[in-house]
Amino acid sequence: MEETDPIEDKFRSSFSDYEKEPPERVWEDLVRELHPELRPASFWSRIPMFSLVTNKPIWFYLIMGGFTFSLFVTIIYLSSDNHHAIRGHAYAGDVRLHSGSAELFQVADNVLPWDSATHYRSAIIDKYGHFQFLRVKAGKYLLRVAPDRNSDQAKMYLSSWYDRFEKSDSCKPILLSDNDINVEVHLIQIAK
Amino acid sequence: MFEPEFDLISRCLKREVDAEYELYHRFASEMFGICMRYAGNEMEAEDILQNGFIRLFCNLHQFRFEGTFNRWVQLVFVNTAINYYRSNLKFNLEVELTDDQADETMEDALSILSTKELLAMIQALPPGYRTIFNMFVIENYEHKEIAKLLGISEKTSKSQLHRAKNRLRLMLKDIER
Repeated sequence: MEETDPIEDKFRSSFSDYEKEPPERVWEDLVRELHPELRPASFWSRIPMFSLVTNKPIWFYLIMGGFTFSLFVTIIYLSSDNHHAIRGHAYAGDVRLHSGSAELFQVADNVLPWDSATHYRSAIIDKYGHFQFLRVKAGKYLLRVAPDRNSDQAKMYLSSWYDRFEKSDSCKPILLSDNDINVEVHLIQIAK
Repeated sequence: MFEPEFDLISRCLKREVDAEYELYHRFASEMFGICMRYAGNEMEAEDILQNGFIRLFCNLHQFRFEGTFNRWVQLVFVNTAINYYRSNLKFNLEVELTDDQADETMEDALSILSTKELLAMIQALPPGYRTIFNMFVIENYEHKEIAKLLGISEKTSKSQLHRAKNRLRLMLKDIER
């Protein structure tokens, strides 16, 4: 007869149906990642910048000075580390996707992509089908594009992995090393 | 009563937020329980839970209704947890010289511990031990499957399980004192 281990038995029985309610913020963060189009507008987009610089010129010089300084610091910072951009366009058939989101997943080198995919970042696809992930560290990535669920294109095209793959375990990984990368992602058409 | 899985999954594939919310609430507690066992603390468990659901929603096409959906979801979360600690999973083959035999006093100590205390013991294990202990003892993976998923040998998997249990025995002896 097989010998049982009291430690294994105790832990197995205690955790066989163990559940714990996660805090509500997990769902809120999840929605923000899955649906970047639902994110509220940023603080900066609410500033009436134009009227500020025309009515009070001193603000114009302050902003331009600050901007130039930030740009200078940013250029020095960016040139000193190994981060690059992944940009591209998403296509629904021959035309560009009008709205949607792009999800970037980081994968490990020595295992199957599906086994190691970890969500890295999400980005909005604009009306020209363009998306971009800035300051991505060097590595191997999978990319998934989803059309806006309310758009007409979503009725005809599926969310797809780069490039034109339905499943992540067969899709094409993107290798980011020394340069920025441009990709074109084509969505899979729903069979009629 | 639960909405049939097929309908709910189809609506999630269309990216309907209310369907995603329904699916999230159907699985969140159970999956958070899994994440808590693999994580070192609650904050890390929340990260794993969020990552797991993103993987789940982005890969729903992969589910072919061939096994139970619940088991498939569990696999997604166990994989996500493994990946979260992948870079921290260190395995060495030194054998700890502790007595492998269970004694009665240890069983007494085990019997009085609550699930919360047992969880704290699992979370106190190093990530490598914790991962293999969870996979073998609670998820019922075989050493062969663990070895394949973690990219290690079966021998290493067995030795890490042995070490994890020894570590738990030492914790139990501390509790007895």
